[in-house]
Amino acid sequence: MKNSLLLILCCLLIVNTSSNLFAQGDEMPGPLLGFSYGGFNSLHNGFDDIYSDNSMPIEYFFGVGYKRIYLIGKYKTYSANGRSIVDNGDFIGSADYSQEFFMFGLRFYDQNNNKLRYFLEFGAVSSLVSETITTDNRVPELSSSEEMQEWGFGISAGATFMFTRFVGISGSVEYTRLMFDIENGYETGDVNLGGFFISAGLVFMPFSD
Amino acid sequence: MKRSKYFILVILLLVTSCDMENLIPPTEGELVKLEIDSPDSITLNSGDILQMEVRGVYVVSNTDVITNTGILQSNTYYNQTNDSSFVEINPATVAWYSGDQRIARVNSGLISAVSVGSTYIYAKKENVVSQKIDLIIK
Repeated sequence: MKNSLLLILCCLLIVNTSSNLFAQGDEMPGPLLGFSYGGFNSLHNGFDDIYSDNSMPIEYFFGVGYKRIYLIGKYKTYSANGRSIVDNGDFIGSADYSQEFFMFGLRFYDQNNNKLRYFLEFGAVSSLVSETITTDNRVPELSSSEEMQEWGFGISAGATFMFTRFVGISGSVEYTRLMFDIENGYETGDVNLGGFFISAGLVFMPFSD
Repeated sequence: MKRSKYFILVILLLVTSCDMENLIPPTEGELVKLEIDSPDSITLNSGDILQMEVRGVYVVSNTDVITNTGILQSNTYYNQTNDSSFVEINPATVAWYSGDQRIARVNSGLISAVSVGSTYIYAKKENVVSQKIDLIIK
């Protein structure tokens, strides 16, 4: 929550600064700001075997661009909980999962003056994953927490419909590939903890004539 | 008459087979206690014989390997359980000892009172020793 507030404050600061800097001319770079809400589908093979109660993450994004190209930053947190897999015991496992995504990349619009604009996006993604597993009888040997961080990449495609001059709705499909080296888990070795994120939301593009 | 003889024979066979089942110790497990089924002290007359019975406590240890697996991690817990069972043992499979062979002898659990006096007997199997039973021969 703290991170989200900090991010929003940073975005507002960027928008304000860039608006002041570039408000003079039509050909100057302009800011982009928005959020979207959607469903994340992990590409881990066993994810659905463990996690059933998944959150719908909100993604916050901001950027600065010139005409059709934007330098963009995105952030979202995905969380899920479910039952860890207990073999050979009459215990019920429980598991909590959280994954943060920070993406920095470029967004390319097909045009910059139509109401309906399509875009492609790609960039580097940093992801922080944390998981806690335990059992209903709280056997210490069966309970633990793990946190891992890894870099990967993401690509995204979508469309923005500007229903006013500066405000629009946006929808996109995003794919992230994040290869984590997992030594001891449901799957071991290089495991992709990325996935697909399908979302829709609002976008603010002041000075985007 | 012939029929009744066969009937008695079948009954005897059934009873014997039931007894044999009780006398077979478990194939797994460790003998941890040996117990002669008798009071602490027995008084016999010289020349008497007495069959003793013996029981054993066998313990079977099991280790269950329990794992708890998530996406990023997996934990293992070794849960050890001990199951004990009280089993009658065939006296012929047990080593029997007498404190004084001149007073009483014991073989396959059968005590033979030899002469007047007092002594003791005990049994041993798989390095497990039973309690001592005092013998008084009159």
